[in-house]
Amino acid sequence: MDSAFFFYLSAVGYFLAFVFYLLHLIGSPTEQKSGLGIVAVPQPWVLKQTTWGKIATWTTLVTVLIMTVGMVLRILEMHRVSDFWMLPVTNTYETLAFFAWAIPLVYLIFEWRYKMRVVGVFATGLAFLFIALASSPLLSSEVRPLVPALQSYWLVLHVSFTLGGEAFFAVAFGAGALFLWLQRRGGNLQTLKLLDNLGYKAIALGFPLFTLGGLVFGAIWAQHAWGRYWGWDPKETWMLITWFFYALYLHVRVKWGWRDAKTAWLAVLGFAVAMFTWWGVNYLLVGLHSYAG
Amino acid sequence: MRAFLKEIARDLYTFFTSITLAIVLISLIALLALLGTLIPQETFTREVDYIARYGVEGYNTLKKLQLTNIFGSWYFLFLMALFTLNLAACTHKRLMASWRYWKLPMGFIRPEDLKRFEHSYAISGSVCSDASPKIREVLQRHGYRVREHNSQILAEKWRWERFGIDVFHISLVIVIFGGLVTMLFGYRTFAIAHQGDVLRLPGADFAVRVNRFWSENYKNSERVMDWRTELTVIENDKEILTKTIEVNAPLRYKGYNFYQSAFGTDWQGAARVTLALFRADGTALGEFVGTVDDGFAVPSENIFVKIGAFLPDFALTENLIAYSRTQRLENPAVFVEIYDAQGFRLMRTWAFSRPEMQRFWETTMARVGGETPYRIKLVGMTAPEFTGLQITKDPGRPIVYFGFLFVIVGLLVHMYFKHRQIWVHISENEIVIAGMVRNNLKSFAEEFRRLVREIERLQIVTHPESELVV
Repeated sequence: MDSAFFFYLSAVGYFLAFVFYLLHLIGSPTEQKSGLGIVAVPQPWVLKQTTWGKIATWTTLVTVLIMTVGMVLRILEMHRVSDFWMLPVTNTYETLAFFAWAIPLVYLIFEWRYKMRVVGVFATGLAFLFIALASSPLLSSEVRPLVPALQSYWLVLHVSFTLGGEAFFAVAFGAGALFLWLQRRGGNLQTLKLLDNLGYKAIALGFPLFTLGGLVFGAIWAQHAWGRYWGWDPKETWMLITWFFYALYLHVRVKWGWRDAKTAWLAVLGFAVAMFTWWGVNYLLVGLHSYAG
Repeated sequence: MRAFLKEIARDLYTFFTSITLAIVLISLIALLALLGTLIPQETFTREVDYIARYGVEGYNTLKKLQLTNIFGSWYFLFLMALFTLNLAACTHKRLMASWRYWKLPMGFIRPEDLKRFEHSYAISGSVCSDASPKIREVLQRHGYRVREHNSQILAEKWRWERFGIDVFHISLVIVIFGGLVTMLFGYRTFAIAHQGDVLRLPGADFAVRVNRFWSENYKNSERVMDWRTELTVIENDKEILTKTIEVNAPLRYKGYNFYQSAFGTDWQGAARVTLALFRADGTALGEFVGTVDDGFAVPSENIFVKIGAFLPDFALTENLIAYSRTQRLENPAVFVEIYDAQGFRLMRTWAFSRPEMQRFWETTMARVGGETPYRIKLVGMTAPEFTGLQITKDPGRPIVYFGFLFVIVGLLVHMYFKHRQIWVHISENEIVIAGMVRNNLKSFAEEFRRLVREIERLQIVTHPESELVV
């Protein structure tokens, strides 16, 4: 059995977890307009809302473990082909898998700290999207030898820290999106407060990782590989835009006291910018430049 | 006058320490940077590519607005300079605040106020006389620095963590400064070298010889594992050292760095082509070999054939300038001029190796310019391999690395340490414990609970009564 098999398996696992989290979310109580306080929404499902939540958590945990096995296998496969011990972060397929492994992992930490499961819909949903994209026929799962420019441990540090930071941003995105949705739906105030706080904590913790991975390790690797820290190429520039965006988030939150819907919007937009840095630059902007040879 | 200057200085300080300015500047820089990724920048784009994309007029407009070099344009540099000043000023302001915080000692707080703290606990009963030293010992065991003031124990740890975020901001300024030093006093060039070439650098008292270069494949594979170039440093006609560089492992000597950054076939600089020559009536004159910027004579015809240029991937811009779309051998073409014995040019043309291109070109030319005395076909081509070296001088490097180190240190301190303070008020019949921390931390709540439990276990309070009963 190779790593690709375990990744397929985890795609199934994340999808199941996503469905369970969704049932958990739909069944969660909302504040009714009648002013009677918190009233549970009638549930047509067999199980109680908390039970669905527990099943979802366990499914996610097991899936993350399955993915971890896949990652370890992938590392061994890479070593067999290239003779380098590297984390699987050297091409699009591997980075997608890494991201789909990191998001639920980061999410589970927050679930455990905050005793709140609603964000799981987004965490497992995103993880499913990414691992499904990786496992789709669009991308090859073949293990290729590393091209010369990628044979550097700075690359491993650079990509893993950047994606690690972005996994936190993904959780903040989930919390922000959910905040906006629940607010419109009239969710209870305590859940909203928790979501707001969770989103902020996720960005506050992800930002240092992202700074290290994107800014520091990225610049050092660029210096080693190309002889310059910074060259304003589209990838670097968009990374800086993303970094500025989250720096902005932290400053308006701390200095201007922005909260709730405003910062929730910023968290959602920030993740969109981060994803553009990853995908948009690769598939839209490079198109502009690639004709130059 | 002095008062006036002082006022201006204060106004400037207020202006540059404003967080609004920071946010406006960050947004503007981000917007310009975004534009710079949508319009190809001239550092990695050739003129012909601009013209192919925007047309001559569009290109000229972009150039006038400096949009082809946004990151070097005066307005971008101006914004960056403002931002750096802003960052430095804000850092200064914050640092002063941290300094005031550092100087501000913990003070006595009345027990009834302590009871209102979020982390607070009271034990009632008659308190032993040796309660204070015992509690101090517990706190010290947990890493707290302890002081006593009016029968109140003041304990704290990690007060210095307040400076973490300042270190981070200062380090960002240092990194920008280091980058500036490299930009102003550094040097960067890309050199294409063949075997035996000796590279001389402006301002350097040494030269570097390219002994040989080669590419290594993975075992049983066509894939490149690494490119290597063996370099020898020559100083005063003496060989100082020889090192084989590879991608990600440069040679560093006297502040200069030599990076392996490319490897390939030097089609445009040094292609060697084989041409088949025909008279206009179709008589074959044979095949001849020549290199770019040189040519060959055809004695039987008394002509000289000059090879003006070779393009591995021929294409035309909208105003009919020929250029090479890529450096791969996709659509090879050679530009040829034919001179007679007196040096008078008889004709010039492009010759192609793809037959459909050759046919297309010949029919088009025949329609436009009429008959030519000779026909030329491109039948073979080779080119020497080259090694591409990135050569840099980077005086800002230690500054940048120093900055990076403290960016990391500052962030780690800010993330993992939070200033923790504990007050213990001891009176005859009550002990009040209260704690405070920057950001409401779960880990502090746990430590607080642990501390309370340990103090209770000391059994310094006899007949303890619950607060509620009293």
